[in-house]
Amino acid sequence: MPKITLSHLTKSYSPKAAAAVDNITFTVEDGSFTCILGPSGCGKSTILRMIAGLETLSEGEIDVDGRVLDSVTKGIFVPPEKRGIGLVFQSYALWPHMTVAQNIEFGLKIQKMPAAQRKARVAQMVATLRIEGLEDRYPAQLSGGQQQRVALARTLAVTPGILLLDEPLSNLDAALRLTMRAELSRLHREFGTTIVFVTHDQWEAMTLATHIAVMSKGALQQYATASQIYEAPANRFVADFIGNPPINMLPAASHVARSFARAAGLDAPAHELGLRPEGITLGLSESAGAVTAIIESILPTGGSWLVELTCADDAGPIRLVQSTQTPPRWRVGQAVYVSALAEAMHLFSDTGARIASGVSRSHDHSRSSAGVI
Amino acid sequence: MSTLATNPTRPEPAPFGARLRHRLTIARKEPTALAGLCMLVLFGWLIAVPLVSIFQDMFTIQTGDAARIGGEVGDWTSYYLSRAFASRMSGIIFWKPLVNTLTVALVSMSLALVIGSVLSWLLVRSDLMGRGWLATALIIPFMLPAWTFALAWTTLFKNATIGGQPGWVEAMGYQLPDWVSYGIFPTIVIMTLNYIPFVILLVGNALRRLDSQLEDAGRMLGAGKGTLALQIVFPMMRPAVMSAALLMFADAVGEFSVPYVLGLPVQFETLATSLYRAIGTQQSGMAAVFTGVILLIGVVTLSLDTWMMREARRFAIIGGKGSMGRRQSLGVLQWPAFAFAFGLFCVAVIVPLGALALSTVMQLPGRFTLSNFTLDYWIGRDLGTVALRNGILLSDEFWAAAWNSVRIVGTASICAGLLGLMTGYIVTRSPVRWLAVALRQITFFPYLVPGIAFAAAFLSLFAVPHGPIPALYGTPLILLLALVADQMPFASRAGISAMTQLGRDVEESARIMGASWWKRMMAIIVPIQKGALVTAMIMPFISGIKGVSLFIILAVPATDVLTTFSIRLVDYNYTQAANAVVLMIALIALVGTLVINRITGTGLAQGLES
Ligand SMILES: Nc1ncnc2c1ncn2[C@@H]1O[C@H](COP(=O)(O)OP(=O)(O)OP(=O)(O)O)[C@@H](O)[C@H]1O
Ligand SMILES: [Mg+2]
Repeated sequence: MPKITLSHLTKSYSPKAAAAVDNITFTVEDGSFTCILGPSGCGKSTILRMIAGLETLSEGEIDVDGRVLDSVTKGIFVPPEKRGIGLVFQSYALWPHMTVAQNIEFGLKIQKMPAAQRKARVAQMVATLRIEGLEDRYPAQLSGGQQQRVALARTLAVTPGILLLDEPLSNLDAALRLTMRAELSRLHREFGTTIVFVTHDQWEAMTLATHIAVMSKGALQQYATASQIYEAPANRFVADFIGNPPINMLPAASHVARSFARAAGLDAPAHELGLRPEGITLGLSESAGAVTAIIESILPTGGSWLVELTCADDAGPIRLVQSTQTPPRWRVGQAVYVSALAEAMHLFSDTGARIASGVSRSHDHSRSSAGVI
Repeated sequence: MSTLATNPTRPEPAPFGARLRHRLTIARKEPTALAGLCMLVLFGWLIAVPLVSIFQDMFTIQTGDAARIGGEVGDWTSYYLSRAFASRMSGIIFWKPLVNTLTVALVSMSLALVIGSVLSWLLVRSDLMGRGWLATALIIPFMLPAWTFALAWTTLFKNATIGGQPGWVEAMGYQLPDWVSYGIFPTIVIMTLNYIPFVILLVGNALRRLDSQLEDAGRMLGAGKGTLALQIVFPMMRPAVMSAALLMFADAVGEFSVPYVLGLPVQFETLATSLYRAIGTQQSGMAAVFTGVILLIGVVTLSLDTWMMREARRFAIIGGKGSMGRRQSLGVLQWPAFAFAFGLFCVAVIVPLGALALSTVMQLPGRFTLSNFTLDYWIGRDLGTVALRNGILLSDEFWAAAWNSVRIVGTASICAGLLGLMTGYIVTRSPVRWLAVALRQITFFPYLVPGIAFAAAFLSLFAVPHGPIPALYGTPLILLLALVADQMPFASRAGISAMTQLGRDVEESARIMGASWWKRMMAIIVPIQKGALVTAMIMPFISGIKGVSLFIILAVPATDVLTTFSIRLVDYNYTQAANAVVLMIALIALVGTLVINRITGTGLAQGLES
């Protein structure tokens, strides 16, 4: 059962430039659906290509179930064609001179599967990915979504134990993307493969993945489950990158931040206070820890609303964004009381590391006390 | 489970030895670098070694010269150099041919440049009538072997100085002086006519690109016409003009066939014909000197061109597809301009081809009576001649030569095409950068070396056995190898440009599927690049079929090809038959070129420029 261990994985394309992938260590559990998430150019594709063997390592080791595939120190390199890992390219990389059926059949031919069995397998894959009727077309005669499914079919046909997917949904329209997500989830359950999926769409990652690896500038920021990434971000970057609209960051020394923190029982010295827009409540009556603010604007975003506020503070006004599912009953310019849910708050040090998080009062007993991890 | 990755421990970097071992393991599993190395060795042997060997010949005593020079064969000597450059004979042996060569090259280049630029402007920027078909018609000479025109000239203007049948003009009763019939004047005229299409292709293309920028720049800056011409047009045209000039010059320096056909009767020698004579009289030391000089001129001019091309490319990147917007109206000059273009078409295409074609169906030149016309030279039997007793279409020699041409040139083109694609593959995919660079340069190198010099180099190296390689002279193999090497610039450029356009991922996805390197080549790369492969084969085929230089030196009667066959017929004064053979070659070259244009849809200009 495939479990991928990456140790100190490093890739520098040139000695002068910063490493594209820098000292990455984590283990992809068997049968998991892991997302690599991060801004453009952070090294996601490079990691996948290194696991597949298409990119040489500058440093580090890759092993799958205890078998070393690639190691600089041990001088081991198993070429891509011998790794038995499936990779679906962001660009699909279908073979333009082969029909859909031939594309799917190619890997089976390499495996020397008898013709009759091959035919059956192709038919099965075509049905699974719902591309019936396209078997005799060439890639140039397919739509983007169809090409993508052919690319998946081609890779899944050879039943790799490990499936690497490089932003395979990024070129699809919203509706097709939803269907394909469901499809991927289903395939994951059905085939039981270990999937590593690259995306820079955090929502996609949150809905699909069992585990998420967040990267920035070649370095791993956090590797954890989706909910942990959201509820306990390892650092300021993760907190900021995950969540839409992005987390509010206030100077910890400000009057507003101090009064929120005090109400939540967070008293660690910190540099910044992060406050999720979903955790802000507005009201007309004063409550513990509440501060006053003026409504600046109200933006409907289809089913939810963004409310922009400014609070007066010693060092100048502080802007906050609230996100709410209920239609706001405020007018622009109106003064309101702002309070914050404890679990929506995180304290960060000046290096960006998370120091502490607020803990929901109602769940106090189910968690360890003042949530320092 | 929550792994925080704040500063994970960083191990010591892997030691150099381990890193090297890792590298080697990768290289062993990935044959691209290995294949590249093999190709480099092959081309080193085919391209670099012959050229080195000729330089060696220049400085060592050659067989047969030992007694005269005083020393052993193979000893170091400066005899050949001093004989060429500083002996009593050097005026005749070397300096005169050098001056002739440079005169012909410079004059024909300049004339072609002037006439060609005017024509380019007329075709691209003016409302010249008939410019559509003229643009194609005026390119035709480019597709024909240069000595087609030399033979046409002889057919028309030959005088009584040498034996055989007179030219048409003399046959009609006009006396022609030698300088019109032979030597430098007709050589220059013919080379000029032959190079004009070159200029039309290169300069015309540059003008076409210029269009949009001209208009944009004009609109943006509100510049006057004069400023525009000076500041934008001139600098932008310069690379194309320079490039055309240098290419023509280098080609003219190595041109052998035209001065050979037209110069011999009046002892008009150029470096190329001197080289040929040196080889014909077994003076390999002197041949090496001539080769060296031609090579030097070629290398200097064409490195200049490469440098200019880099400049040009910088412009090309900015330039778009140039909207064919406004054209200059010619007004009253319309008719003179058309007469000029059409006149040139007549002089460069209709007259020579027509004369050649007519000459093959006339018994006596220049006599236009019905009884004088005959198809005997094509399909006659038992003609009263000594050698070729049947019309060429019925003669075994012709078909043997034709079959040899197709067989040798065809095989060489297939090899060149495959090697070209392979070169493209390695140049674009090699994990080792220097290998890619070395391969790209060495395959381009024959472009810098005129065919005649290259053939001489080949002869010098492969005439004698070297280690396990037997002497190849007289075998089709030496022709084959020389052709492959000579055609690599076209083939490798076609290969490189095709591979550059094919993403790596297509091959990588096959690799992921478990396909071996060989399987990937056969099932993915070659089928996808079918079109490019065909181009990379047809281009060398045409240029090989119409080429003379390589064959004249390396072919023996057993490996007679169409070109050497026709030159031999010229030597025997079988004018009609020679012309008929030339027409057949021209036909093959023309059809081949049209086929390429059909397949690639790009046209010749790109092929020349890229
Ligand atoms: N062949 C290469 N040569 C040099 N640098 C490269 C090469 N390939 C990638 N890089 C650099 O490595 C870094 C990581 O690239 P990578 O393709 O892994 O990013 P990514 O996270 O997949 O980005 P995206 O989301 O845009 O696909 C980038 O800064 C990129 O410029
Ligand atoms: Mg990427």
